Parts: sequence; structure tokens; C-alpha cells
Amino acid sequence: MELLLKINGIKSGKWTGPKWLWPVILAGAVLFFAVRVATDSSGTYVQNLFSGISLGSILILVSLGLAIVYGLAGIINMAHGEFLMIGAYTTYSVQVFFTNVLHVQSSNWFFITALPVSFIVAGLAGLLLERLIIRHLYAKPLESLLATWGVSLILIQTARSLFGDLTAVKLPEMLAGGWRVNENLVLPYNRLFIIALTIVVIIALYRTLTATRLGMQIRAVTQNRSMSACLGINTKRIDAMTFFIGSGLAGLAGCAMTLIGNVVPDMGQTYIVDAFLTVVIGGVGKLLGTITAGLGIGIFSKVLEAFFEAVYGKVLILLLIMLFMQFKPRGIFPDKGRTAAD
Amino acid sequence: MEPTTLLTASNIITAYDQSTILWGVNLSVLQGTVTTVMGRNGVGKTTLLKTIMGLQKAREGQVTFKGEHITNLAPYKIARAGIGYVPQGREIIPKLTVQENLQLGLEATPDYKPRMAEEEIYTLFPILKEFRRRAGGNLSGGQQQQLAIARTLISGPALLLLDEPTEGLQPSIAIEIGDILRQLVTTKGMAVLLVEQKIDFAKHVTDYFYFMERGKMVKEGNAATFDFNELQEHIAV
Repeated sequence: MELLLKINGIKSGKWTGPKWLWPVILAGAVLFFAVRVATDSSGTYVQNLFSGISLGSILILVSLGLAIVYGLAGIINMAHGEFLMIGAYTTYSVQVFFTNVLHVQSSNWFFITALPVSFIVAGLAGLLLERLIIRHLYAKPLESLLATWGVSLILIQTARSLFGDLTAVKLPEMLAGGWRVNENLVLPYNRLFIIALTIVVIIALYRTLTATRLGMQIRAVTQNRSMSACLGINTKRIDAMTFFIGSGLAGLAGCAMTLIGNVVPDMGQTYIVDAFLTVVIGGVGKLLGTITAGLGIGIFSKVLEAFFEAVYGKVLILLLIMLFMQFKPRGIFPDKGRTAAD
Repeated sequence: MEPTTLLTASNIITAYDQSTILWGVNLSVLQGTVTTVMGRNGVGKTTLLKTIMGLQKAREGQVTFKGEHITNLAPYKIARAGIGYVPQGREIIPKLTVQENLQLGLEATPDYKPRMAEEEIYTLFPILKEFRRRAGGNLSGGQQQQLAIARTLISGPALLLLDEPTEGLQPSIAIEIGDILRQLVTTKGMAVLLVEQKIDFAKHVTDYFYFMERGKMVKEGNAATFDFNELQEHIAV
């Protein structure tokens, strides 16, 4: 054991080994992929990389909401994945409404409408959860974990009773097909759209947090709740707003999910674990960290799944994450200087 | 003209779970004066300020401010009523810049407009202007203290609660802060409720003294007539 620690250079959670090791490993990995891509005539690797980026985009959308809620309230919201599910079913409901009630033939309009609607519906669901349950469980992490898990089970079963086991949303006409880069490589429009949507959301969220009054209130309450209250901020209102935005982002991710997969009651469960991993790796309350981690996990998942079987790819990812957390327990971009917590 | 009473606390009893800290505190603060509560560690000075601010619930007793009951209101409502709070340890929001921290002070105003121009604040505390783009958490203790005071001043509070503002500061900066407080009280008619352990600093700024022991006021009096020798003995023990 002693020897193992020495080899790894791990000492009390801090990396004491050579500083050049991580950059070298990273550069090696990049070089490896670059060579594979360059020598790849069939285009599968680029395709995998591309799928990875779009998977990462969805992870980012889900994780951003989780990250700001966790940062603000210290609540591990196990029901966060279900807001994704709610967003997806909202999209489905909007489609049904457009085709059956409004008799709109084009499949573009329902999707354009579904984007804001899924954000709002999931956001309201989050707001309701906060007002009814989580509000009473602040500062009780274990109880809130159990309570939100219970809520997630209830939501899944409700969705199953309402919509059945499997529903699918029609792919909007404008997103059918793909961008033909060369004869072997086609980048599907739906995945391109997801990536673009994520970029827009990231910019909007960043602007909200840094350049608006609400954003500054959220940041202040996240960092020091009682002092923020003493300065005149209604912290309960900020909690509610943050839950709305965070859950809404998951709903948006759910809407985007309908472009690349079926709508099933437990679809949120698939993403919640990866989303938690993303938040932990990115470092709590750090947008840039969450984005990098989401992208990283997305790409690694898809690429490793292509090399190995899906299950082994997952195992490998978890192993990598465990190792990473040994070296960087505070996430990718830890605080430096006087503001650092310890 | 007799100055009006701005804040009164009557028979305040506050407890953390089973242990009672304040055993019936009575205190009043007059407009345009500095009132200081002195006492040793653990007698309940900080708890008194927290109770006034609504951070700790009072079991019994009443706090009135400008003639209205503010007992056990939510802290943000008390801040908006016109009480600025500078806690022990300053509690600057660490990852917000100095300027953003100042802007947070506006939350206590109804219209989000400063009552004291940013330039005026920078004249009082020139160091804040120089460091306005730095993260608040990276300032030194003295600079953070100035920022914490400036942050409340921007909303033009009628009363300022200060919890041991000179703790851990070098004497010259403590005197500077004392001078600024006096200046604000005389020019703006603001009232200050100060909690302090250092007699020298307190004497420098105070109009009216209270001495606290085991959760109660045991002595009070005007700065001119207050017996500091006796106080010195009490605090030194």
C-alpha cells in the first residue's frame, strides 16, 4: 500500500508527483485520438467524437441546473433527472396538441413552441417541489436526499400511468438529415442543433449570473446566505428563482433529448448519475468546470464505448473519475489564494 | 432640542436551544449618537446585535425601530427598514469584486438607487477605489472592514450595527475608521450601535455607554460621566 501511494504520488489527497505528468497524459490522449482521426478513412472516429460532444452538451444542460441548485441550497436533488423527463413529456404533449387539436401539419412549429414551454413547465415543477418539500429540508442533506428520491419515484410512476411505457416525438422536418462533410462523414442536424442550443444556454446563463441583479443576488446567497439576508436580499425568493431556472434547464435538456431518443418514464435516471459526476468533477458552483467536465465525460463515454463494449466503457470512465478525484478533490478549477476555502 | 430615540430593545430574552444568552436586555439608541455596548467575551454582545437584526429569534421582549415593531422580522426586512449590519469577521462576499460587494448594499433600498454616491464612498475609503476590481475575499482584514462599512453606507441606513470593527486591525487603521464613524454621525445624523472590547477605541467615538455582563446590562451612562476605571477592572478580569 505504501509503495502504491508512492508510485501514484498521492499524499493526503494532494498530488505530489511530477507536475508534468498530467499534461503529458492529456497530450498523449489528444495525440492518440488525432492519429486515429487522421488515419480513419471510414469516419467512425469523428462520428464518435461528434456524438460525444452532443452527449456532453445534454449533460452540460442537465448539470448546469444541478450545479447552481446544489451550489445555492446545498441540496442534492435526486429528482433533478425527472425534470428532464418532464421536459421531454411536455415536448410530446405539445406535439400531440399541435397535430390533434390545432391540426398543424408541419412538424417544425411544435418543436419551436416546445422549447420555451418545456423550460417553463419543468421550471414550475421545480418551483413546486421547492415550495412544498425542499423548503422544509434546507440544512438537512440526508433527509432532502431521501425526500427528493421519493419524489423522483412518484414522478416516474405518474408519467408511466399517464403516457405508457414508450412514446416518441417526431423529428422536426428542419432537423432531419445532416451536414455531409465528405462521403463518409455526415453530421446530423439534430445533434448540431443540440450543440448550438447548449452554447446559447451557456452564454445566456453566464450573462444572467454576471450581468444582472438577479445573478448577483444568486451569487451572493450562494456564497454567504445569512449576510446576504442582512444586506436586504429576500433569500427565499432567490431560492425559488434558482430552483425555477435550474429545473427549467433540465426541462430544456429533456426537450432536446427527444431529438435523439425515445421518451420513456425513467429517462432521467440515465442521466442523473452522469450529471452528478459532472458537477463533482467540475467543482461545486463553477460554470466553467461543469462545462468542461460535461464535455469531457460525454466525449470519453462515446469514444470508450466505441473501443470497448458499452458496459466496460462505463466502468473505465468511473475508474478514471475515481483516480481524478484523488488528485483533484476540489474539481478541475479549484479556488486559489485567500478565497480558497481552507 | 432633545434627540429622538431611534431604536429601543426592551426585556430581550434570546436563547440558543436550551442555553439562554440574553436575560432581559434593555437598551436604547438615540438619533445622531454613537452608543457602545462593552463587556467581556461571551456575555452576549454579538447575540444582542443578531437579535436586533433578526438573525436570532428573541423568545421574549420587543425591538422597536423608528417607533415600529421589528422584533423577529426576517433579516432582509430589517435591513430594508434602515438598519445596516457590519458583523464580526466582516462577511464580505468573497468571490464578488469590491464594486459588486458595494452594489449589494443597494439591495436594502426600495428603488435600487444609492443614497450615498459611489464617489463619496471612495473619498471616505480611497483604498476601495484602487481595489474596486479585485475579489472581496482577497482584501486584507482592514480593507474588508472598510468595505463592510461602505457596503452598508451606500443604502443610507439610519442606524449602523458594528460588531467589534477594530478586531485584528492595526491601531492606525482603527483610529481612521473611528474618525470616519464620528464624521458620519455628525454630518449625516446617522446613529451607531457599537459592540466593542477595546476601551481606547470606544472612548474615542462613543456618546453613551452600556456595560453588559452575563446577558444583562449592568451599568450605563454618558461618555463624560462613565467610570472607566471600574470598567477597566471588569473587562481586565
